[in-house]
Amino acid sequence: MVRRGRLVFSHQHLNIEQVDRRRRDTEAAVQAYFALDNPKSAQRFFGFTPSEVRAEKEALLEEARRAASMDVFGALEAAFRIDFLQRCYRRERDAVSRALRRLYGEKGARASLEGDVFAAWRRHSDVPRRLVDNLTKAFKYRHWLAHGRYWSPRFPRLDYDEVYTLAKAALDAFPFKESRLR
Amino acid sequence: MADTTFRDFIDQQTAPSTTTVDWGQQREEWLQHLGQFYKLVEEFLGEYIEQRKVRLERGTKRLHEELVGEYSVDTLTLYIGSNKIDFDPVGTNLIGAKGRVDMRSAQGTVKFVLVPDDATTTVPRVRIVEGAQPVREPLAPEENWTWKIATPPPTVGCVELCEDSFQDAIMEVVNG
Repeated sequence: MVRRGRLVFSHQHLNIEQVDRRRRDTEAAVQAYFALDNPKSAQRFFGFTPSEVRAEKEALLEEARRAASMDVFGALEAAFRIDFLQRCYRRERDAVSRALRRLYGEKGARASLEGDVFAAWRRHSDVPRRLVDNLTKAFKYRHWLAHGRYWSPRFPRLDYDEVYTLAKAALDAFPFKESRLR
Repeated sequence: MADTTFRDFIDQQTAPSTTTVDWGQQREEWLQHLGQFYKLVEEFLGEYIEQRKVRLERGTKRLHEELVGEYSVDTLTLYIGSNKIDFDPVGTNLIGAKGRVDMRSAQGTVKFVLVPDDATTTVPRVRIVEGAQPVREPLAPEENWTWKIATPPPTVGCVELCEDSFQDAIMEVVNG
């Protein structure tokens, strides 16, 4: 086994409740800005029809939700990866920790989330298969967002609510070593 | 060369899917459930439609879903006074649901989802299993699909679709 230096945690990882609060504040601000009676945006939308203003508002909200989805995915990935490393550093003795430690020995902190970490959980816990399948599909959507959306995806495109719901279900279900991750 | 590449591309795109899901059958089931959903909407608003205070208008649109393909789907528009409320079918290739219709108006969107009768968004706590063979929970039977209202974050969940919850949803998308 290769000896690896420990990764130093930043403690700046995101929390999905914080992400969602910011997303709601952003949406409220966008709604106020695009209100047809808002004098501050009258010049910006001079000559627009109400449906044109609504279309611009919806496009902006959609981008804000996609950005928030990325943050939710980031929070979810951080939770799995911190748990993975904690189980290795603390030399926990349960079956998942042993499998993750072997994985860490082979690939270090760069082990793949979908291919390696989820697989270890699937093999050594009673995690419902559907939850892991849904997480794997959802992370494909995350890669699509993160890499510039330049190809037509062959998987369901999720909206923000679906991403949040799935992340919340996973964070509540997995027995992560650090309770603050949930 | 370019022609060969394009031929490969076409073969790849038209090859039978290796997935175990019968998307043709799933599409038919979703369309049947969509028809039932629209009947429910008419039922919930029956009194107001008779009084001509609410007007419903049917339409169609084309949907293109990856793996499912392109198909035609019914849409519904609801007029209440000067308010227009659109029921927009999203599709069937979804995570955790077999169908979704978004109800949109000026102040917001409410999502109706087609889910198993006993659907919840919570998952039982995962237990680590010692030994080679993890215990797998049997998948819940899914014959009984039903329409529910998906509640938005941070309180995620599914609410039963009934006349009261439907009327609340309409007021929410119109009044905000």
